[in-house]
Amino acid sequence: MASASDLQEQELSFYQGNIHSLIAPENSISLILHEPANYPSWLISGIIQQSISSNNECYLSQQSPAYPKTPSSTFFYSFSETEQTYSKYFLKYITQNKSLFQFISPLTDSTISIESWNKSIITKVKETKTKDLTPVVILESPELLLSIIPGLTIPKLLTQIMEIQKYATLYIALSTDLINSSELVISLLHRSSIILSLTSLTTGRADDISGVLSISKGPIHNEDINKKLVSFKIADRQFVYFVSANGYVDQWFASVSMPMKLIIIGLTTVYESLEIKSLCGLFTNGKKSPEQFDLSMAFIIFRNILEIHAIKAMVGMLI
Amino acid sequence: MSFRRRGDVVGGRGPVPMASNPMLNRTAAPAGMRTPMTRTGIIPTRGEGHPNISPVSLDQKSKEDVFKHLGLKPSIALSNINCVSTGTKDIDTILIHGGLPVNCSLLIEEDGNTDFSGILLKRYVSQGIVQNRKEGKIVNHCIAVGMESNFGNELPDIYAGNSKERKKKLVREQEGKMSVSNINAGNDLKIAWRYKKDPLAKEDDSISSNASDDSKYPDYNHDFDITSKITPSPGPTEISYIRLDGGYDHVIFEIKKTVERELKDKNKMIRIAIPYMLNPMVYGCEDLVEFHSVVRFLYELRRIINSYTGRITLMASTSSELFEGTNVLCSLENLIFDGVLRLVPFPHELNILMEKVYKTQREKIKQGYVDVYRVPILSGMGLMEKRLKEYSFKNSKSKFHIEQWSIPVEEEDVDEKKNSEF
Amino acid sequence: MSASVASPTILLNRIFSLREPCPFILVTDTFIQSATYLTDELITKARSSATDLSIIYLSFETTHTPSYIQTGRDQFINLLDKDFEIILTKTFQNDSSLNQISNTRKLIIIDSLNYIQPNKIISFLKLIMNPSHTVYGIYHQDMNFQLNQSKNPSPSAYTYLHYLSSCVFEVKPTDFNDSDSLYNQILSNGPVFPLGVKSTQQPLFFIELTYRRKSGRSLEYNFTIDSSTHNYEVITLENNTTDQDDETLLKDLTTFNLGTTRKQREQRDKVDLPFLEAQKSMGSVGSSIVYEFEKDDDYDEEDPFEDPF
Repeated sequence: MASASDLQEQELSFYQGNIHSLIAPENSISLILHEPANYPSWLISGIIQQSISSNNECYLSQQSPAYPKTPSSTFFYSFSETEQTYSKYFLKYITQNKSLFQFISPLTDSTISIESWNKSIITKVKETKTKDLTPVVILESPELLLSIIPGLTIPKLLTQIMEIQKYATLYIALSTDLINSSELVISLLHRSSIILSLTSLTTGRADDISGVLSISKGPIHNEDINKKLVSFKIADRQFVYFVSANGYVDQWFASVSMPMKLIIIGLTTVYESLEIKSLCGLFTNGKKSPEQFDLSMAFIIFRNILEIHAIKAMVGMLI
Repeated sequence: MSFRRRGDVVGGRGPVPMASNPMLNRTAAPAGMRTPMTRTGIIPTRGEGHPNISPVSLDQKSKEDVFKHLGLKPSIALSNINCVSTGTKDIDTILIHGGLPVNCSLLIEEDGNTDFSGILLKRYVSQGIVQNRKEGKIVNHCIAVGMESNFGNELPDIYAGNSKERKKKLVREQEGKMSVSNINAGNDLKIAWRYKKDPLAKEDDSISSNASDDSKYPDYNHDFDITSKITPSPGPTEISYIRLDGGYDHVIFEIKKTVERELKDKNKMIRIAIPYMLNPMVYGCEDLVEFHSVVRFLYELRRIINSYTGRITLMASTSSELFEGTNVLCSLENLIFDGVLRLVPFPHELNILMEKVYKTQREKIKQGYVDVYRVPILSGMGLMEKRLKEYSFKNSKSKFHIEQWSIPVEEEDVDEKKNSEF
Repeated sequence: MSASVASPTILLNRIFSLREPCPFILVTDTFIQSATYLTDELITKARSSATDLSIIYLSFETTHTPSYIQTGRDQFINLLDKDFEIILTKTFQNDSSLNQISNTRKLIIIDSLNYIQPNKIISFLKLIMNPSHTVYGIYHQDMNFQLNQSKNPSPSAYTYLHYLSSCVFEVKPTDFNDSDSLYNQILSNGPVFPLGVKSTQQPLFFIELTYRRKSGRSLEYNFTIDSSTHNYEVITLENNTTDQDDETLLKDLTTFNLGTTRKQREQRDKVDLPFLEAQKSMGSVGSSIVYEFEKDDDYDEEDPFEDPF
């Protein structure tokens, strides 16, 4: 259950009490699942930034103190996006230790042979892997490979992915909407130690909230993989986030199971208001049972004079 | 920094504090958000000195610096990106950038068996051809996949204005005794000059908000008269038709060959159009619509588009009704196309209602929704830009209007009438 | 040695510590609540009761050797997309040739049975089942599709597995009874997102145990397991067992007392059905033959397990 002190927190962190907030334990799979309208590029960029940083810098958790960290080589393979998509983020946030980072997309690099994609990754990863440093590999939309490479089956693709996992800390970003790859999604779900999902608000688009990021535990225990003492206890929680075109991302902690009353009658009259729209979406998004999402009437009355942060503060008080 | 977004303060380099809560700016981000025109200004609302963007990679930037094209305009949303027009101004607008960013692909899906998307595709190709005619030399090469030469014969020409304007123009044209057919390199300049003058004078008073853009990029986009035809029809130097006979491998091979050949000319851009993609009348219902081969084909195509920085765009149309809920459409929407729009003609009941409500203001009657599923680049960046039932469209002779959708409200008397009827 | 266990918790503990004769333990789970905690529980218990236990881990989805696999004694074998027949035959042949009758018990863990094609599942089990082996296999219920698709009307892999198992654990989150719960949603519609806060992989979870006694009678118990405290708690669900249904059916039917009292039922459960001894040493596959001795049947003096009346 979320406490009020949690609410103040606006730092994005996947793990509780871990200074490297986004970096997963070695040789684990972190699964980033996103809805078609909520691409994870902002999140991936943050992971890359922290991974190659030597002082734990990450734009998604700016308040966390600078902390010496061994930078890891990071390889980002996107099968669906080009550098054009990421250029804003890369320019802004990938400033430290640039040489450690490599973006590879078969879309822009016609010299890449897609058939032997995993071999090229493994060669690169093996080169950089040292005894106490595991490189980070991020794969975006590997499900496309199932179509692009003739004869590639899910077990074969999984074997290739496992092969990479042996040498690297692996992040895999997939779209959840694909019917054909849902088998792949489930297979990967069973192999992941953390599940990050990006979803839209149930109420649709809003001007001030892009979506919800949920962090959930995966079936694999981190303790199994990592014998080090760093805590990888997963921060099981949700954030709302907002991405704007200039590459800034804000995220707020969202407590979802709030014991408040949502009064629908009050809402319908002001439904047009985007603030309300996004807030309602926020409350209904992580829905469990209706009675858990009761929203006080007060905030509807005051919605004209209150800024959304004031409402947020109220929400905090009500918990 | 030739592609800095106009209107930026040059010295405004100060970084925006991360913690700044966009919701705090609520009052600053005005109610104007509601009209599609100003909606494009998502970033400008965050006025605090947008940092200048330095080149992505020097190589790429220097290439762009050199490359000039009359069909290019910097994106409104992103400072380091160029766009071409889709040939339909309102589509350009809802794509937020003010056009289709280069190296990007746009998919127009259509529900039902209407053919609005076919018109949009023709406008896209026409836009390229018209720019050739304006420039007086070939600066755009179009590739029509799966089409035959009759496609090129049906491309709409520039809307010449209403009948009065047209008459005036006709007189002027006859005076000049010059027709588009006999242009050659020799009298380029004259033609360009002539054409440039006209739209300038005309459009200045028509669209005020875009006026400055239009004057700076006069040939970026045009209105097309869908009842007219470009004369003379584009020849093989302007448009290539690629048949599907040899299967996708062959199509890819042909496209590659054409692209290589055409882009040797450093001034050219390519527009690839795939009208009626996967339509059974063109693509049959066997190999060419098999899921993996379609994805592989489009993926290869995307690789081609992306291998020439800043030079190629692609637009395709398909029927979403046929492939709704199938793997094919899901993959195309999510992973292959940079932009995805869907035209959803209104159900019959809504048409009837609108006829009733807007009896006296027939111009308000719309034909369907335009659903935005994915906006090139911005969606990929993580912005949530999926807008369902937010826009409506109306196709007219000269324009494809897209407006914010609002539910028609029956007036009292209409209600009463209705009640008495039953 | 017997199937008569007074308390379900004791039975559970006996199964975990491999003292109950269970040749094949089947575990079903979902990614919402995976069997990982249960596996940990079993391994801790089994290890502490049988110190010489050797574990063979057959991996289809685990990349890294779990920490409980000890080099030298245990084995970790990767089988994904490989020909398991060759690998397994080799593994177990070496084994049996070295010490003809191996006394050390072996626990064979299969991290996911989903990757085996339905028509191969029998031959897979045949390879690994052996009187000295306990097979512990996990089947992901949410992965209930065939990875190598072939349309045949024969029973699904899960049907085979369920049929052949001697003990089934169904791992569920505690809110499985709620038809709107994530667990039920993903079972019927596949994965849905967002998953919600604290809804996956909770240390406190529910298991449904179906234990098949030698006689063929199966016992069903429900537990909640708190893996952080290693506490097991028996749960009685409201609408359950057939026993009670029988009782209610018989009630008020006649003036005769057809029902059984609780004491009688307990006694009945304790009755060892005949020929249990005979089944003890039998292989691990297949059900045992239970038959009633009739008057005309030949009495074989050499059969030590014969019931002498």
